[in-house]
Amino acid sequence: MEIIILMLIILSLALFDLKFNKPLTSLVAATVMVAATVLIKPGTTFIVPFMESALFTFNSNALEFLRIIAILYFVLIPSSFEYYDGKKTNFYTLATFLLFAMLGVAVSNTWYGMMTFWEMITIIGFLLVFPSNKEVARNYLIIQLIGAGLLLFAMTRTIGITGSHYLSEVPKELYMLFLISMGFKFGIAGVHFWLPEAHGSAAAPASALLSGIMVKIGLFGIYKVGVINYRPFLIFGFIMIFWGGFRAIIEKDVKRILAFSTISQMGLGTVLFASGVDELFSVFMVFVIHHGFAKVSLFLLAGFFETCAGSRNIEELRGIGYYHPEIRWLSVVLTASMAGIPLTYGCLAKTLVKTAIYSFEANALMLASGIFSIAYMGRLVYYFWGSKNSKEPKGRFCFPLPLRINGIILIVLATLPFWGLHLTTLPATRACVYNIPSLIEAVMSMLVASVLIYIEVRYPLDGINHFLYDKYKGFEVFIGNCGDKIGCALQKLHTGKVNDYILAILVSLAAVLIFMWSQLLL
Amino acid sequence: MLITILLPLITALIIGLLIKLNKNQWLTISLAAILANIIILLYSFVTESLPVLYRMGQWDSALGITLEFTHWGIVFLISFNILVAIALLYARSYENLMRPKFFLFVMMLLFSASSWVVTQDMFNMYVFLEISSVLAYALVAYKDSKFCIEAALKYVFTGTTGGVLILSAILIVYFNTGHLNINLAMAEFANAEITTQLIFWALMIVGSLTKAGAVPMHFWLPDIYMSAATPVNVLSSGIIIKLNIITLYKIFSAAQLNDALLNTLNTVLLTIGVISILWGHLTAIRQKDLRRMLAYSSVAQIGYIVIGLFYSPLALTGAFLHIIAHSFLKGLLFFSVGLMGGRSISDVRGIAYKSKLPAIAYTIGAIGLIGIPPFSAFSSKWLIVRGLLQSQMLLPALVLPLGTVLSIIYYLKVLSSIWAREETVTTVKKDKFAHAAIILTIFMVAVTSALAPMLQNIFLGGL
Repeated sequence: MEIIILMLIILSLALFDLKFNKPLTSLVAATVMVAATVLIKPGTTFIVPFMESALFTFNSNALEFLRIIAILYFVLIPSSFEYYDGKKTNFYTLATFLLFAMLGVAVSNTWYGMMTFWEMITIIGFLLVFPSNKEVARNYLIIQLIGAGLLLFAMTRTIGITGSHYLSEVPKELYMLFLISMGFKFGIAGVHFWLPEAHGSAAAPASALLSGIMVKIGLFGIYKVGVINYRPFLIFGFIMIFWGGFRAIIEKDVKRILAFSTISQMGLGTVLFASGVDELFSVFMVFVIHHGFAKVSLFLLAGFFETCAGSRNIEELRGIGYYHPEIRWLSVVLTASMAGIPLTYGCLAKTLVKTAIYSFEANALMLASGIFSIAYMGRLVYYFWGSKNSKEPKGRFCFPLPLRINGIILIVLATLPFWGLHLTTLPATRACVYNIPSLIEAVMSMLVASVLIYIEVRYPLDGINHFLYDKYKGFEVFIGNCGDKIGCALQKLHTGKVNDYILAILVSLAAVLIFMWSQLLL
Repeated sequence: MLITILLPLITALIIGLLIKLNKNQWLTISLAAILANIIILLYSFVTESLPVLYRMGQWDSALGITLEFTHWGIVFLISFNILVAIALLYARSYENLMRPKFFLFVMMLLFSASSWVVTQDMFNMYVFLEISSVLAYALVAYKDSKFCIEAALKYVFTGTTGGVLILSAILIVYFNTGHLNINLAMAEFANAEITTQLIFWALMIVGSLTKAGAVPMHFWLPDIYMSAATPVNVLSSGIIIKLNIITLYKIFSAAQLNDALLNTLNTVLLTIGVISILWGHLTAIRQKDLRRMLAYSSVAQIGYIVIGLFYSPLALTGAFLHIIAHSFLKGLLFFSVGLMGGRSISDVRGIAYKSKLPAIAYTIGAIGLIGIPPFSAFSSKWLIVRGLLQSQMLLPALVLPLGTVLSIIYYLKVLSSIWAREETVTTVKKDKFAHAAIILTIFMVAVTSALAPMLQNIFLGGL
């Protein structure tokens, strides 16, 4: 019963927001969620009479995940005040609805219910992108719905095989289908192309919500249906890590860099799920905290650059750190954490993932992935701190308090012992993270990464960048016009003459007759 | 229970006799008769042990006409009655429809549709089929404009062609077996020559699907929907088209087929269904006119029903549920489009802020017909997919979600236009009867969605 009450409270807050669109409501919803995750006992279920099993289950994993998501709201929502100051927006409403939908996905115990909330998240994502760029939003929706179709197919197959509408063990042969269909949400390799477009074109807080929070539900969904411990996923994971990292190194647009880094980080998550270690969920939670806090803050920062300097191109943002000394240390902390430099929370997350997949002997690849992430994040710092740009950026540079606090949190979380959010169960100790070999490894990685940055700055890969961008544009146009073109060709058959209609009937009669005759008598 | 068939006929007679009354009185008489009908049907559904057989004139079933009230038949009768009541209520807002002729036609249509569902006699079925078709032609031509006459003429030509094909099929059975009762005739027809059976099935399938508007026999359908009055559209999409599918199902379920013939027929119907879904949705994407878009959407929905009808009990249940779900959801869409003054997508920009109810109704209908979970259309599509997967038909099972994606594209275009924050110049019709009809339809959509599991059990248990 507690679950239903919680869901009703959040839903009513969201509906209240629909009318008033107040940031406070989102914060209240997040507070309620945090309180509920503390108060509700793990394992609470909601069973409808006459049903054989629970409709909603609040297990400890869902509880921890939701708690972290709700805490992320406390960073995101107050930071968006300044950005949306005086602008017309429905961001807070969508944020509250997203909280509700994520709660639904996390606690659903039926395929049917999970699918419902999953689709709700898709629609929220569409509405977040829609005000900024309608074309991208439409393509986002089409791509997500193809994913939903695949997911529905996978679920139906599972129900057909297991015979149960309740979440149950997925047959091994459907693992790949589940990974790909759920991967549409977090940009799995092959269908990742929507992610930089959508995250790059939405407003900054919306991007932060999409990139820092919403993509996590894709990974959580994979964990929830139990599609883990399957080696072929490693291929997807590493392709995402390296492709995302490579694109992030050569991009010029700050938001697109961050979006590609999201793809790269989600690849790390996929690699983690391929391993299926015992403490997988705890490691995943560390990963969510690391990526969530850093990515939300970085996207907000990019949004503030955009408002104050009027540009997202890192060439034009060059040396902005000199005009706004406040952001120097923050950008360093955030990017360092994202890159996994020692003494930050990101380093902890990366080391834990590395330890988790140790048995796969993919250490060389993991090392390379670390170098990539240091390279694309270090490049951002290089440009922000680079030679002083001649132009002084116009506009007020607002720098809200929550972002500063967030920077402190990231340092505190990394340096203090593992108390706090939930990390009591982790076996990995600080000794495992901060030992001499790993520190040497980190220093070497930073050296190699700086070489990479130097190469990119000295010999920019603009040609490749443009080539890839045009390729994507072509694909986008193709998706958009495909339906129209086929429809147009068919339209020509509709002449409007009765003779043609009757002819069509007779021809189809003949066709059916010939077909049946050939099937039966020949 | 026979009275439920006769009551519409009696009402039609009464209205024909009492021409002097005014429109409110005609409406009251019709609605009272329909209400009585629904109550009797519900009562007998609960109390009597179904299926009930009536032998007309106490003749043996080999000689006389047999009427059979099955579980699914009564569910269809109830939904037809409700749909007619809602359509009449909505038609009250059209001044030019409020003549005794209209009520007479509609009640006769209800009578022939009800008889069609319950009859077990093939020739009787054909007679009611033609009565309904003639009434449909008349209703389409009712508005008396140039377009309506043209559309009605096209309808007459194609409908008659389809009718002739069905009649030839029935004659083939009759000359080969000497029976007209479906069960007896089809049992004996299994011994006929394979060529004869083949011709019979080809004629039957093409004839019925011509009248149902499946691709490639659908060309007449968009013209009808473009020109006829809204209540007539609702009746033709909700009742007349669906009845042809029911004919096909009845004959198919009574037939005793060998495996080769069964596989061939399944392949033919599956192909027609898949083509209908794809063609209907893809053509609907191209449309600028709201009603034409709905017409092509109907073509696609017929595809879903045809696919589901012949595979497994599960898919059949889904198809039956889809017939009911589609009736009300499409009705809702037609009603709201009827109230919005504009005809094309650009005409209705920002109309939601002028009049809320039609916009909300359209949104509900579109979301429901796309197949978003809480609505009954989702349950039906889901059942069809599961039924197809049970019989290892993977490709058609993939076409269904694809169709859903395609339908989202065009419904979203309309929805984003309706809810765009713009000033609109289009006037919105406001009428309390029309609004009442819309609210009733929304209520029925909610009821069918809530009762979807129960309907599923009825269809599964009664089949």
